Amino acid sequence: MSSKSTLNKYLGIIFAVSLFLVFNLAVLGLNFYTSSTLHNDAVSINLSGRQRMLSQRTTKVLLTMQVDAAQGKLDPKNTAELKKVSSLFDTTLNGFKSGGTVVGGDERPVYLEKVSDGVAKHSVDEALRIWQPYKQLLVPVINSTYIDDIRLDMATDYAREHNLKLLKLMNDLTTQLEKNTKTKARNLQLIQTIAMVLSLLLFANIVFNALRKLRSADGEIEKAQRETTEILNTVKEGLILLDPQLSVGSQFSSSVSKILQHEITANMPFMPVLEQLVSAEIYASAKDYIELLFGNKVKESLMLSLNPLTEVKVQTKNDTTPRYLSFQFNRVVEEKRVLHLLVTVQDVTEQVTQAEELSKLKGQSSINLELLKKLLQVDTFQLRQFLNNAQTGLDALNVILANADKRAANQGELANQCFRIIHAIKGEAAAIGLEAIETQAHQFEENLVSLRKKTSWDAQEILSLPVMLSAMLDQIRQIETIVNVIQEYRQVNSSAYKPPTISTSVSNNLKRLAEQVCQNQNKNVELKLNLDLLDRMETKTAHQLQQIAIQLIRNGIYHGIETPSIRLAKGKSAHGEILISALMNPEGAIDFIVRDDGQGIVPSRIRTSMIASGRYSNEIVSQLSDKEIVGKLFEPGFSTADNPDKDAGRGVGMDLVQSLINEIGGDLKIDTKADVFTQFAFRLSKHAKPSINLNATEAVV
Amino acid sequence: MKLMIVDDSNIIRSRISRIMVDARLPPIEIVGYASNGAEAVALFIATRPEIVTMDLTMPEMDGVECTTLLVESDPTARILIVSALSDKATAIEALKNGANGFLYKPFTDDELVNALLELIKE
Repeated sequence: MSSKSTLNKYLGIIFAVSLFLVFNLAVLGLNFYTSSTLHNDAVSINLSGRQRMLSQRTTKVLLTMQVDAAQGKLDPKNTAELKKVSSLFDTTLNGFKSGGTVVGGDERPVYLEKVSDGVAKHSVDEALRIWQPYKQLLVPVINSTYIDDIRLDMATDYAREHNLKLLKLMNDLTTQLEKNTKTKARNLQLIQTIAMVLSLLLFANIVFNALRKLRSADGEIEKAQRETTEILNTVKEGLILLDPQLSVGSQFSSSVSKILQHEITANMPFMPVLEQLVSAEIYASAKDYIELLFGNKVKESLMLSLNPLTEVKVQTKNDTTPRYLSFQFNRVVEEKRVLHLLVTVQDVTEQVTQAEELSKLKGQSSINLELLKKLLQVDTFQLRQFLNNAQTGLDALNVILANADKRAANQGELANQCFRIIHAIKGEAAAIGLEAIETQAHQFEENLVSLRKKTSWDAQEILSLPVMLSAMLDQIRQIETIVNVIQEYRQVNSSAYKPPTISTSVSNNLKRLAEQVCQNQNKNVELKLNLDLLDRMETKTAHQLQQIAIQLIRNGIYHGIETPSIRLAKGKSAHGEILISALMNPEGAIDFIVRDDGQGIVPSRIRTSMIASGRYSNEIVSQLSDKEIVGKLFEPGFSTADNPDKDAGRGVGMDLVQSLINEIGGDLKIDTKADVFTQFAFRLSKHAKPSINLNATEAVV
Repeated sequence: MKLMIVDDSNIIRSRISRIMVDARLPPIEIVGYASNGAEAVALFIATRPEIVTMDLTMPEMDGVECTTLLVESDPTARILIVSALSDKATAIEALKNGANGFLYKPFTDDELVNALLELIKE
C-alpha cells in the first residue's frame, strides 16, 4: 500500500484528533487567562480589605495623637504611622480609581487594576470625595513638628465624622469585588464544564469513528480472506506460498494435497515433501533452484528454463502409474525483498503422455505432421481397408511386372490391369487425403502410359516401375505403423472412442475428394449423399461402392459439370450438384445411383472430342453408332480429356467402374440428357452388361 | 556498458556480436572475446566489463569455475550463462556461484537481446 493512500485512509481520524487538540489548547488558554484575572481579583480584594483596616488605623492614630496633645505630648512614631497609613490608603484608593502599582500586603509592589464595575466604581468615587478633604486635613498634622491642637482637632473631627462612612464604602468595595470574583469563578466553572463536555463528545466521536473504521477494515479483511479461501478451495492447480524458511504458508489450495499425494498443512516444511516425490538428483537441483529464487542476484525470468521441476516424473505409493508434475515458482517481492515464493503445481500427465506419443510417432517415420493430422482425422478402419487394398493391389502389380516378359502375348491387357489397380489406389488415396500416395500413383500411371502403347515390354523399360512400386509399398507400410499406434492409443486412452460408421467415413471421403477435384478444376459442386444403407452391407461391398463413387465423382466433375460461367449462360445455377444414393426398393434390392446435373453425355460432342484428340480418324468416328460411341467410354484407355492430370485423362475410370460392378454383380444403367443430367445407376444383383439410355424419355434396358 | 563474450565456439562469438551490432543497443559495447575460462579471466581484469556472456563447457577452465573467479574479482559484474547444456544442475551451479541468468543455446536474436536487457535492468 502506498503512503498516499494510507494518508487518505486516516485523514478523518487525523482531522478529528487535531480538532480535539486545538480545542483542548483553547480551553487551557482560557483557563490560564481566567486564573490570571482571578489572581488580579484576589489582589484587589485583599487591598480593598486593607483599605478598611487603613481607614480605621488612620482614625485610631489621630485619636491617640489628640489624647497625647491634651497631655502636651507629641510622639513622632504616631506622626510617622499616620503618614504611612494615610499615604498607603491614598495610593491604594487612587489605584482603584485609575490602576497602578501599589505596595502590597507583603510590602512588595503589586499592580492594582482599576475597578470597572459600576457599583465598585461608585464606592471608590464616593470614598475619594470623602478622602480628598480628609487628606488635605492630614497633611499639616503629619508635617507639624509641634503640637498643633487646632489642626489636629480639625482632622480628628473630620475623621470622627467620616470614618464610618469611609469604612462602609471600603467594605462595600470589598463586598462588590468579592461578588464580582464569585460571578467570574462561576462563569469560569460553567465554561470549563461546557469545554469538558464538548471535549468528551469530541473524544467519543474520535473513538467511535476509529472503531467503526477498524470494524469495516476488519470486515474487508475478513471478506478478502473468505474470497481467498474460496479461490483456494476451488482452484484446480496446487497453490502454496513458501516462506524463506521453506515452510508452507497459512494459505494453500485444497487441491495441492491431492496433486502431491501428501497431506499439506500450514507451517509444515515443504522440502521433505518434495524429497519424497522426486529423485535425489532432481531434489538437489530443486533445492538450489528455490534457494536462488529467494536470493536477489539471479533474474527470475533468466532462470525459468532451468527449473528442474518441470514435467517431473513422480510415483507415490498411491499412484498405480507414474504421473508427471510441473512446479512453477514465482517471486512475491516487496520493497526489493523476496518475501515468498508462490508455488503452482499442476498434474501434466496427460500433456506429457500425449507429447510422448507424438514424438514416438515422429520417431518411427519421417512423415510430416500434415500427414499425421490427416491420419488422425480419418477413421482407422477405413485406413486399414485402404492399406489392405493398396497392399494387395501393389503386390498384384509386382507379380504382373515380375512376369511381364513371360506373358508377352497380351501386354495390352496386362497394362490395363495395372492401370485399374493403380487408378483405384490413386482414387482412394485422394479420397482419404493421402496426397503423397496419390502423387506416387499418378507418377506410376504416367510411366505406365508409355508401356500401354507398346506391343511388347522390354525389361529396361519397366525397370523404373518396381522401384516406384517399392517406394509406394514403403510409404504404405509407414502409414500402417502410424495407424497401428493411433489405434492402440485410442484403445488404451479412450474406451469411449467409437469409430465412425462406414457410411459416415465414406461420405467424408467422398466430400473431401469432391472438394479437391473442384478446386483443381475451378468448379463448384455440391455433393448430396444418402449412403446410410452402406452400414448394412458387407464391408467389402461398401468399399467397392466407394471406389465406384470415387471414379464417377471425378468423371462427373471433370466431364459432366460445366464451369460456373457456362452454367450461368445455360440458365443453370452456378453450383453443380452431384447426388449419390443407395436406396432400397420394395423388393429389398439396393439401387446405387450417381447423378449429376451437368452437360450430359452427348454423342456428337464425344465424336468431336475424339477427332480433336487426334487419336481417332474422322472415318472411324463417323462409322460408329451413338451407342457405340458412348460404349467407347467404358473401353480401357479411352479418354476425351485434353491434358491428362490427376483427376482425369487416362481413360481408366469407367473401365474400373465396370470391372467393380462386375465384381459386385449388377446391371449398370446410364441415363443422360444433353445439358440436363447424367445418371449412373445399378441394382446390386448378378452382373450384366451395361445398358445405355441416351434420352431419359426413352426407357432402355 | 562493456560486454565480454566468452565462448569456445567462434560461430557463437561472432553470432552474439552480430546480434549486438544489429540490435543497436547503445548502452552495450563489446570490449573483448575469450575462447576459454583462463583467457576470460585475463581479459576481464584487463577490460573490466560490466556484463559477460559465459559458455559453460570450454577447454582449460570451464564456465562454472570462470564465473566463480570473475565474481570474486568483481561482485557487481553481471554474468549471463549461455549454454546448450542439457544438464540443468551444472547451470544452477553456475548461478549459485554468482551468475545472474541463463539462456539456452540455440537462441534467437530476440531472446539474446531480451535476456541482456533483463540482465542490465536494476
